[in-house]
Amino acid sequence: MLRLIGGRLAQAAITLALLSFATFLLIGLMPGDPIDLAIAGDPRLGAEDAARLRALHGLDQPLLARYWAWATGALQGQFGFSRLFARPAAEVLGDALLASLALLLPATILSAAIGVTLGILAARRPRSGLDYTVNFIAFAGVSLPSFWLGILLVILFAVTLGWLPAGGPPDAPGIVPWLRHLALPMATLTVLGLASYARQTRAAMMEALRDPWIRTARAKGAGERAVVLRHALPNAAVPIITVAALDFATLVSGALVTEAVFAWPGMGKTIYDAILGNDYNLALLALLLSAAVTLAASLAADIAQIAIDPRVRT
Amino acid sequence: MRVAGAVALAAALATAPAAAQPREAPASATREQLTIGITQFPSTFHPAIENMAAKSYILGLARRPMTTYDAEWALTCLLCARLPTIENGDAVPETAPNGNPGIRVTYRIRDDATWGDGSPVTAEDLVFSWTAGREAATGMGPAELYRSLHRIVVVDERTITLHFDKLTFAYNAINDFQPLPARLEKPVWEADPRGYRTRTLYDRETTNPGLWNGPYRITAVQAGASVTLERNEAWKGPAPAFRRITVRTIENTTALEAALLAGQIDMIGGELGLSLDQALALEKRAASRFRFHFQPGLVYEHLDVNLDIPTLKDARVRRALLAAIDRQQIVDRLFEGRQPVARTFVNPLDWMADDSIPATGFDPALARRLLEEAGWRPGPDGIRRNDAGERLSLELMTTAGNRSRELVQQVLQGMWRQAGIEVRIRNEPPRVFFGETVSRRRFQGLALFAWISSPENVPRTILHSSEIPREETNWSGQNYTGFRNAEMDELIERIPVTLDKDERRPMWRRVQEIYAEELPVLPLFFRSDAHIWPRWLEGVRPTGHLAPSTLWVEQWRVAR
Repeated sequence: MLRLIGGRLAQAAITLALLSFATFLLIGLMPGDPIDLAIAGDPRLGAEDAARLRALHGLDQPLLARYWAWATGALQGQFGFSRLFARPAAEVLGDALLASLALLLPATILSAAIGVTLGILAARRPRSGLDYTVNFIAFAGVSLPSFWLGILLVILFAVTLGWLPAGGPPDAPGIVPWLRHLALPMATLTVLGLASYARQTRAAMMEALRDPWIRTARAKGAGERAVVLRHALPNAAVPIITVAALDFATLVSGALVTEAVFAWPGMGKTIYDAILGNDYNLALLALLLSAAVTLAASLAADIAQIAIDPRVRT
Repeated sequence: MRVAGAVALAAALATAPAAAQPREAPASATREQLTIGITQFPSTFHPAIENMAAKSYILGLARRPMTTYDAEWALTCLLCARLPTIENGDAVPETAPNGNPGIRVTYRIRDDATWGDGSPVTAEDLVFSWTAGREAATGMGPAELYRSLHRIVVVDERTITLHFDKLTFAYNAINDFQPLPARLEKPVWEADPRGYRTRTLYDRETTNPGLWNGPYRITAVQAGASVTLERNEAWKGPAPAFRRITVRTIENTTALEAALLAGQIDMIGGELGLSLDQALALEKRAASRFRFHFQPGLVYEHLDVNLDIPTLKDARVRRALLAAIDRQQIVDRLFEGRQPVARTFVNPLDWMADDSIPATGFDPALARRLLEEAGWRPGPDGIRRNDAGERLSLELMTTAGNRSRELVQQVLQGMWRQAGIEVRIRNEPPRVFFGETVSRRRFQGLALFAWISSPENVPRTILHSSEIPREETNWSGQNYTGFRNAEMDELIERIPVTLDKDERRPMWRRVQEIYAEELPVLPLFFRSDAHIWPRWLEGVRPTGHLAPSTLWVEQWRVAR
């Protein structure tokens, strides 16, 4: 196991280094730079100003030199300043990460809990009314665009009924304002997220429930709850863990569309703004963090799968 | 039991808040608070680093520049006691050290101008602002003022004399000159001028009252989401109506509209609000709840013509292109007549706009005649051809994703088709369009975009032949059409140094005549901002130029 972890960590380090270089290159090679855009929007900025600001922001340096400066700083834990937010990149990212986690963590837990439950219920009674209903919900969850569902919920609960705020974080402190402001974006993400859990769980559970050891368990007199939860579910858990690991990675990369619809200052929006605004320090740190968490989640999923099912090791 | 608990929790969530904060009515309940929605969040709160509409809008509530243009587009004092002029003796022409005509201008800061911590705004604050601004490492935005302001003399604690090494008609406009509290900011700057951008208190201690000298001061910042301002107790001007103003950023305009309808925000600042078509649609549904004000402004939508393209070198073809399009109909149909059609780049609200200049209007017969004269005759498919058999086919580009522009583009394409001109649409994302295609003159025909300017703006960067972007000059300049006209160059050089307004008037007339005759740019219309206010709010006066309406927030009142 330790060898596996060591090997994967080494792979992750190489992947992150390559990724940082590729990301830096891609952002740098995008046409136009922030100064070009500033000139287009500010008639008072002249050619001299443009040259001065380019030099100040280091945009007049060759791309490789700029990457080298960033990489050496990053290795010493200095991730630089965000040009867009005039604050240390790590600080900007910290705020965005907290906002994303506040929204996405409960949404992920809820969608996993509801999705897995629905999947199990559907698998127990295939082709029943319940199964068709779960399939419909899962299908809708996969098909509905998040912006459409989000706007629909806003129109219903914020504009028409006036029960909940339309978006944004609350101005006032306290748990109730937070829950109120989280309710609609969380509901949107939960509905969209539970679909994949329900579908994976249903398929895996139906297969597991057909296995011979389930028949044996029933023959030995095990109750239905024990059969499902203790015997079938652990065997069906491998694909569910994979979905959960992928979902965990999105906690850090954010949910761009939902964040935009609900004016939620999370990671998705921050990464988007950073890339479009050529904010190298912020974009690189965000993408590297996202990649690191994805790699870590993938490793954790592998370990969990091995723990649940030793056959996976082979 | 557990299910019942969950239901109770859900019900509590849905109803308890409704009782505590019905529809989050932030101002309507007490009228002591006002919540404004805009679509952008400032990247810095420093008044002189980077120029952003969101920052101008928010800082308009919390600080005052020395001078600005008001809602009548007249230069006015905000922080200075009176506007210095040559006539009142506060401005005196002199010879600059470089031998050029210069001017010294004396400003007195208002006696009641005070920072939020109670200390007075002094000449020292302006001297520090100048010292930091002229240092390249500081990274201020437009530096023209710092370049031409070669010397400052402190007359007394509140009075300074500025010596400029050039003399223009706008000699007393120091709108970009931002007083900075030297007591707080100078030590930060002196410690590390190059790092000042990242260490300024405006971003590290934004809620420090000593940074603000306006009717409000910033008391809370939620990065990317909202800025809260409260009355500045040290403000000695007229008391503003609201105890607290919150400016919320909601970038998605559909979400912004929903927040307005849900009562989460009271108004939408037109400077950074809904698109015009969205506001017009909303007006039809919610006119009873809100007041809608459409303010025409200085954002000039136009078509830049690449004069290097052989077909477009011919002025008759350019005139035919303009005569073939019914701009009034475009404005009427797409924008319900809320945007004024442009005759030239000069806004009708600007004093030097001259309606008597012959301008090309919608005239299909004229378009046909001009094209015939230029050798373009109808081909079998309706598209005109020249003697060499080449089709009259042009490329029309704009910023992808801008719904209004894309709509205008399609209507133009249809109108030109009627005149036998084929137009191929090719759009690009804004950063490619502005960063590469337009700025390097790579568009192969027409480019649809907007210019923003200021009142009586001399169009040097867009019309002077020295401003044509070229590789040798690292693509600097904004004369993207490649327009060269010796008379225009001369006028552009003479107008700024002509102090007498009456002497400038005929020069401006000639500039507009040349523009209308030569048509290096096809004028479309001036954009309007859609301001949406609650019916109980009065006194907001949008300007239509770069100075935001928030600079006069103390005049905003709750209707009785």
